[in-house]
Amino acid sequence: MLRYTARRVGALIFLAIGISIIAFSILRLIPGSPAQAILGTSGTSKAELARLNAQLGLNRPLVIQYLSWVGDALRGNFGYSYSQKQPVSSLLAQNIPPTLELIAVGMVLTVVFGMLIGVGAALRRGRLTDTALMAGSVVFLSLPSFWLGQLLIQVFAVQVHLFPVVGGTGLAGLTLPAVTLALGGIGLTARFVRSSVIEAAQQPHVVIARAKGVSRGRILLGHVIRNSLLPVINIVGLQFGSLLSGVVIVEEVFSRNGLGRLLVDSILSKDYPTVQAVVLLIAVTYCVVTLLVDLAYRIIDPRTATR
Amino acid sequence: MDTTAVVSTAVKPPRSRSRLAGAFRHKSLAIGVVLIVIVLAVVIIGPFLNSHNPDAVNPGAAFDAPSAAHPFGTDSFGRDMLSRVETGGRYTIAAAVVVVLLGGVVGIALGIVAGYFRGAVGFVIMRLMDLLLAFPGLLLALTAAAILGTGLTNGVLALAIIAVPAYARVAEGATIEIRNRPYIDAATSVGVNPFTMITRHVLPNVRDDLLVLTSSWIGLSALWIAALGFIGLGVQPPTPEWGTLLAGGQDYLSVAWWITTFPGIFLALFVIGTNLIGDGLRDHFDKTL
Repeated sequence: MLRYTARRVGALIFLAIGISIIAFSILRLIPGSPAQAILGTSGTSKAELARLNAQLGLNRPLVIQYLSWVGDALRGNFGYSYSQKQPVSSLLAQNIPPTLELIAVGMVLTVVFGMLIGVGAALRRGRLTDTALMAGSVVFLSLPSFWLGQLLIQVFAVQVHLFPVVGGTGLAGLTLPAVTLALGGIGLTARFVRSSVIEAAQQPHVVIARAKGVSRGRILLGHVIRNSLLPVINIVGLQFGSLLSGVVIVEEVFSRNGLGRLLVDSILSKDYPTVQAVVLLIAVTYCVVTLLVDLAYRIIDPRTATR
Repeated sequence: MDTTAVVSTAVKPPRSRSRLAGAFRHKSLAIGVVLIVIVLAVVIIGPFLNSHNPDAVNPGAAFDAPSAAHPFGTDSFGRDMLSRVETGGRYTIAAAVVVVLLGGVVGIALGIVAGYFRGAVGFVIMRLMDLLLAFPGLLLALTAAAILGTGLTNGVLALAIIAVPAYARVAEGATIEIRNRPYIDAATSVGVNPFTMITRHVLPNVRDDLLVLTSSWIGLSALWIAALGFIGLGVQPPTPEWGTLLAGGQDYLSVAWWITTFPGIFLALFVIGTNLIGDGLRDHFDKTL
């Protein structure tokens, strides 16, 4: 376990270096000079450009530039956003909490409803309920979240004044965005849970338990569902990634503040230091969560180590 | 009948047409095909039957509710939504197909090379793919869009980059599995060169997996090209791509539901159709489930 952890952490470090190189390259790959891009089209005197060039060290070798950018980033300094007129780090500080809130609620919805639907479908395998639940799951995972968000706004906020249309705070304002964010994941998780439960129910120990006369309910809870839960942990890690990417669209539809909207706005306003910071933050977070899920899986189910 | 004829009929794989016909027994595949045929018919034939120009602005007819003249209503500029949905689908679906073609060809080539030759080449290729996969979902496309800029071509390129690692992984896995089979050793021992080996023996065997992947990726790419258009980083208005149509109706949700409802329905039907086809093919090829 220790060796495995060390190897995975080592791989994570290389991955993080790769991610940081890609994030760093954003500013160097765009057409034109980086200093010009950072300042934007407004107020670009020669002196200002020269000052920024010197300040960012844009006349030094690329490797040195990269190292100093990473060094600053590790200390929480992501540069200055000229379009928002404040340090990128304070932009991040404002936008991380609402995004985390949305992802947390979205994750709870995904796991709870994904499991309920998946277990329900597996129990009624081959019957009408199963077909209906699985058809629903395909629809859920296929619906474009930006359209779904618009539909929910129309139905629940415009027609039935149940929730604030946009920008609501607290739980009421969180409901529609979280449902929109989670629906695709619910569909995916439900399908996964269903096949996982069906597979667990066919294990020899379940047959033995049944032969011993253990009641159906106890077999289901103690043998089938408990075992089928293991692979679900994996899907939670994957879902975290799709939620992280999904917030970009959901925040846009509901005009919610957050990292996703910050990213889109800063791409549109060519605020490259902010783009770099958000890309780096989201990708590294995703990798760390994936690693944690894999490690947790190993602890919970040591059999995977020998596979 | 001479011996060679007997041998060649004996080793001939089952005819692919009859295999696909068998696949139609799967309900999800049949429903998926029907959905896709309906959407494609509307998108391909629709514009020829419709007298409205999708770009014709008519301020006097702005926000007209669905009627006989405008079955899907009109938008804020008085443009006919039916013709915009029909033409818009051409952009969205064509873009999705190109994304999959580009990403698929590059990804499959990288995956097969990595899986077949392994060693240092394979290691470097697959670690690069891991790096691309470290960016969840749209994030990589957004990063690419930040560098390349907006527009249809750049959106397609950005999404193709996401498709590359997905294809490379499947192709690599399948290639490694096939590479270890005795018949590959047999072919190597009689001097078959790597290129022939890959095209004759490896590619046909990874075809099933890639077919399943492709049908769901066409839907996913359509979803994402529309998502890029919706957030303003893909196709730009006034081009009537489905995502930009949805973005154009966003401000009028409470006054004109039809602007967003119809493009959304078609996009959803298309994605549902491709997912059902993918499911049907997976069930058909994978006998274990």
